[in-house]
Amino acid sequence: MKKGEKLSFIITGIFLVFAIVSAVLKFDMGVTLLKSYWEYVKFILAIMPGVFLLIGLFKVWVKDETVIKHMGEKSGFKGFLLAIVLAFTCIGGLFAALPIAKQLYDKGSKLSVILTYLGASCICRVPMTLWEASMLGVDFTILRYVVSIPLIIVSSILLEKVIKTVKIKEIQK
Amino acid sequence: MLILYIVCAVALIASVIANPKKTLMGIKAGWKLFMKAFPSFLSIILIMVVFLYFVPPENIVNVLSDGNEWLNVLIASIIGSIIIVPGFIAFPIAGILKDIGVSFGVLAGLTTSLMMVGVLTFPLEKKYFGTKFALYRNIASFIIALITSFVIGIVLNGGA
Repeated sequence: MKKGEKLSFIITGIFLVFAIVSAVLKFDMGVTLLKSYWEYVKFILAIMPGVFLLIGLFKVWVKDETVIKHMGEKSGFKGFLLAIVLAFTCIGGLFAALPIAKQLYDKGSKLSVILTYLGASCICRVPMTLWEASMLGVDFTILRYVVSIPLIIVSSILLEKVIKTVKIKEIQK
Repeated sequence: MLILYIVCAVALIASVIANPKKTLMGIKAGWKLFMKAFPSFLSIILIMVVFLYFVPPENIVNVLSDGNEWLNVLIASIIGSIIIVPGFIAFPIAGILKDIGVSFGVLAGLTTSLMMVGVLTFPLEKKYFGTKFALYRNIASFIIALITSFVIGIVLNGGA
């Protein structure tokens, strides 16, 4: 077990003890916290098995060459388009998007496409969009898409260059 | 969520028919990745819950209802960057804020940075892609959130 994982378990353990003690002592704060904590964990537990099953199947079935061809260095604009389409279908936010992005990256997708995928999966998820449009209005949502998606693509391309230079410098040191 | 599991079922059945052995390998790989990620999920959710308890999103209303519009957009974006709230909580709150007269620009700042920038999820991002990647991506996302909200503010409110 890595250090980070251990820390996670320790923090969670302390919290659970605190919550149980507060439940016994009828201390409101602990009970409220535990309730909302459980709501989130329930949500994660409901979604993640499906997400990680798909990631696992993706890992064994999709060849590296396929990812390289469509999202790799020479994929051109198509890679970005694909990343955005993929992002539309993402559920579970960063918790799901990060492992998926990592998998794509390991299979040879280029960095800027990964950045676009992460950025777009934050703001373009379909269920969330529907919610947003119903609460804040359709023109709000459309405008947000029109402005932010090109910005995400441009910034991804720029960031790829910056991060790459950083990495090269590190190696040279 | 139903759609997710329909997709899973279809993929799983197709995969078993095509190659049961490979399917098992895939399930194992997925399980391993899940077990690696799960501990961080637990602690990040915990931090999130504690944070939201002490700083209820409803309180944000008081901060954002008066003063300079551009400043409010900036404050909203910073608040949105720090807290992570799932959509099913964030958008109802945004709806309430809109009804009491918070401007579209501020709402955009709040929701966009909520979704794109994650100070609390930074450790998780770092775990997957390293510190530099996470740092640069979050800074860029913050700037994108700001630009987007200013444009939305100008278009939908007819200027500040």
